[in-house]
Amino acid sequence: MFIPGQNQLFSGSGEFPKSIMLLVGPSGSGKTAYSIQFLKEGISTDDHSLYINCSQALTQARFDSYFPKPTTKGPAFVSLFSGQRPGLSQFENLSNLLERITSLLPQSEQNSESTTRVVLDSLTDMIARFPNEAVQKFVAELYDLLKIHNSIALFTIAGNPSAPTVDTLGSLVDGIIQLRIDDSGDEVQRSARLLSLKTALNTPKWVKFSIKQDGNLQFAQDNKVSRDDFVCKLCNGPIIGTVATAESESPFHPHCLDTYRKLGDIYGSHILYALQPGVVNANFFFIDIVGLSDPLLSVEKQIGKIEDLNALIGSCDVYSRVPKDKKIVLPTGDGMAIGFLINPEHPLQLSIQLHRKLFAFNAKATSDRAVGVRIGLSSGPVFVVSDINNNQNVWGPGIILARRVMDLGDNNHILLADNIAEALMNLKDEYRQVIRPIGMGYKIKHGQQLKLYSAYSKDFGNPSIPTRISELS
Amino acid sequence: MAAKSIAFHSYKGGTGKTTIASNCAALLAKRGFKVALLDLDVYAPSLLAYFQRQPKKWLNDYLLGQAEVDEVMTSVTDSIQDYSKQYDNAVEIKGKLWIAFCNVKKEEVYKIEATTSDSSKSQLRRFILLRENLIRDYDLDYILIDTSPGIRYWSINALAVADTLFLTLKTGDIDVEGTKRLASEIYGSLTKYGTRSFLLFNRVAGYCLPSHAETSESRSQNDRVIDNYEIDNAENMLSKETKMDVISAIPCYCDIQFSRKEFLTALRYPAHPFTKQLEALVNAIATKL
Repeated sequence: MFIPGQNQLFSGSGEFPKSIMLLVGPSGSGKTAYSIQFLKEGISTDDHSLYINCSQALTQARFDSYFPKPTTKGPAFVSLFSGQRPGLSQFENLSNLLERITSLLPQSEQNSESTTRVVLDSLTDMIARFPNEAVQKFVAELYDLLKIHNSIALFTIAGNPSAPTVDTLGSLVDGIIQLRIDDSGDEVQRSARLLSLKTALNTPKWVKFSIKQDGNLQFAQDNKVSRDDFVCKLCNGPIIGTVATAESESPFHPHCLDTYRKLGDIYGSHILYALQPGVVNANFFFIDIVGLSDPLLSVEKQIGKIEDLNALIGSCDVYSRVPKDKKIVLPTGDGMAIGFLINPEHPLQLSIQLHRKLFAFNAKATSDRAVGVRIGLSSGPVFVVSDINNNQNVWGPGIILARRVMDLGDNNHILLADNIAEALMNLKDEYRQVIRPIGMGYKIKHGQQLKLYSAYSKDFGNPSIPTRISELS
Repeated sequence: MAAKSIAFHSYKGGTGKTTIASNCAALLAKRGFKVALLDLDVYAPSLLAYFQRQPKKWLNDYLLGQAEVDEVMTSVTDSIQDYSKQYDNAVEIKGKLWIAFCNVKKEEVYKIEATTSDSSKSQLRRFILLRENLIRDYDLDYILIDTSPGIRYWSINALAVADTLFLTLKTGDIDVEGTKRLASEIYGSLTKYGTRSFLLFNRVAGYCLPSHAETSESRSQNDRVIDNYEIDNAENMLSKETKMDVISAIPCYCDIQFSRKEFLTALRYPAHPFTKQLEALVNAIATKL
C-alpha cells in the first residue's frame, strides 16, 4: 500500500497510483503520526525513504526514536536548518536544500520497480520562514525531482484545503489527504479522507483512525460504522451517509450545514456559538474612543462620537465583506470588540482602513467632533457564555488580551499582541514593513508577560512609543 | 427522491398560508407522495381546524423535549381516504400524510415564546433534528411547513430549515411592500445558501365571484375596479423587484374566503375552481422544485 489506510480511504477502482500528496489538517490532527506511519510502511516493504525536516523542534535523534530498533534501513534525514547559510538569499537556501535532497535520493530512473518514500514535514514551517513564491517554486521543483526518482511523497501543511495557500500548493501536487480532529466529546476523535487525487476516480469519505500507544495508526475497518459515529454539530443527531464539514471542521448533516449558515447570516454569529457550544478561535480587534469620558464633553457629543465611529467601522470594506457568521461584534460602550473567525489579517486590515477614514473624517471635523481611537489586536480562543440577560457573549484569552493590549495605547496606536503580530509577519512581507516590536517581556495584569508590537506607516498608526511603555522603561 | 421542504410564509397574516399548505399537503398525499405537514405558526396555530384531530402530543411538547417524534406526528391518511370515499368516487389514496400540530393553549404558546435564551436554542436544535428524523425515519417526499407571518423567531427558523419558500401574499399595498421588505432583509440570507423562493399570490382581486355564479369573463370590464392588466402588471413588477418567480396566482373565491368553517376544499369539493388552482400549484411543486 502506498498510503496508510489506503483500503479505507480510496474508493476508486484499479490500483492506487504512485502519488505526491499534500497532507492537510489542523494542529493535533495527526499529520506527523500519519507521515511516520507512511515511512514505517515503506520500511516494511524495503522502500527507500527520506524525511525532510523543517521544524527546529525535531532533532534527528528524536526522529530516529520513532522507528523500532534495529531497523535495517531507516529513513534518511535532512533538515532545512542544517544547510542554511547566512550569505545566501532565501531562494538560494531552498535551492541548497533541494541539492541535498537530490544527493540522498537513490539514483534509479522513472519506471524502476523500486519506490522511494519522501516526507516533507512541514510546509507550514517553511512558509513561516520563506516568501510564498519561494516555497511554491521549491515545491514545484521538488515535485519534478521526486517524479524523476519514482517516488511517492507526503508534504504536510497545517490548515484547511480551502485556505488560499493550501489551495495553491495543492494544485502543484497529485492530490490532497485531509485530516481532522474533533475534541468536543470525552475522547479525541481523528479522521482522514482522500480529498482529491488527480489521476484516479475517488469519492472522498471520512474514515476514523486512532493513534495507538506505540504511535502506529489504526483505521476503522468499516466505513459505515465509522461514519455513523459522527454527530451533527447543529442538531446533535447521528450522521448516516454523507458528512458535511464547515470551516471549523465540525461534522454536519448536509442539510444542517446549509441551515447553520442561513441562521448565522440572519441572526449573526452569536447564535452559532450557542448552537455549537465550545471554544472558538478568533482574531480580535478591540477599539475605544480616547477621552470619551471627558467631563467637558456633553453626553450628546459623546453619543455623537460613538455613532460616528460605528458608522466609520461599518463603512470599512473589511468589516462589510466578512459575513455575519464569520465575525463576532460586541459593543463595549465607548467602542467595540470584533472577533474575526477566519483570517488573522482582518483585524489589522480593518485598523488600517479605519485609520485612513478617521484621518479624513477628523480633517473636516471640529475639535469637539473629532474622534481619537486606540486599537488592540490579539488572537486566541474564546468561550461562549450567557450574560446576565441571557444573551450569548464570548469570553476568554483571545478577547481579554486584545483589551489589555489596547489599554496600553494612546491616541492613534494600533498595538498588537505577539501571537497575531508574529503570525502576520510570517504571512506576508508587507506586514513585516509596518509591524514593529516596541516592548519585549512587558508585564500586564496578573504578571502576564507580553511582547508588544505596533503597526504604523505614513497614513495609519502612531510611531511613538506608548506613554505607559515609556514610563516603565 | 430526496425530501423537499417547503415553507409557506407571508409578511402579514390572513394571506391564506394555512389553507394553501394544508390543501397542498392533502393533494400531494392523494397523488401518492409521503408528506409531513408541520404547524410552525406557533403564535396562532390553526391547522387543527382543517383536520379535526386530537394528537397524542403536540409539536410544542417535542420542542420542549417532552415528546418523541413518533408521538407528535399524527397520521391523517385515513381522513383523506374518508374524504375520497365521500366526495371523490373513493379514489384510493396511495400516499401518506402526517401532521405535527401546534397547541393553541395560551400557556403552551407562552412556553415556546417566552423562554430563556438557552431554552430557545435547545428548541431550535430539536426542530432541526425533527427534520433530520423525518427524512431518515419517514422516508418522506415533502415536508410542508406552515409558518408564522412576518419576521419572528419561529418563522425565521422555519425558513432556515426549508429549502424552498413560498411567500404568500395578496395584491394589496401592505402585502406588496412587506414582501419587498422580506425579500431584501431576510430572504437574501437564505437564497445565497441555496434556498429557492417564489411568490404565491392568493385571493387575487378582480375575479371575485362565487364558483357557481357568472364567470369573470362574462362580467363587463367597466364594472370592475381593477382590471386584469393592472393585476398582471403588479405581479410582474413585484416579481422583478424581488427577483422571485411567481409559482401561482390564485383568484379570490368568496365562498371559500367567507366560509364559516375551515375545511379541505381540495378534497371536499374536487371540482371547485380553487381545487383546480391548487392542483396546478401541486403540479408546479412536483415539476419545478
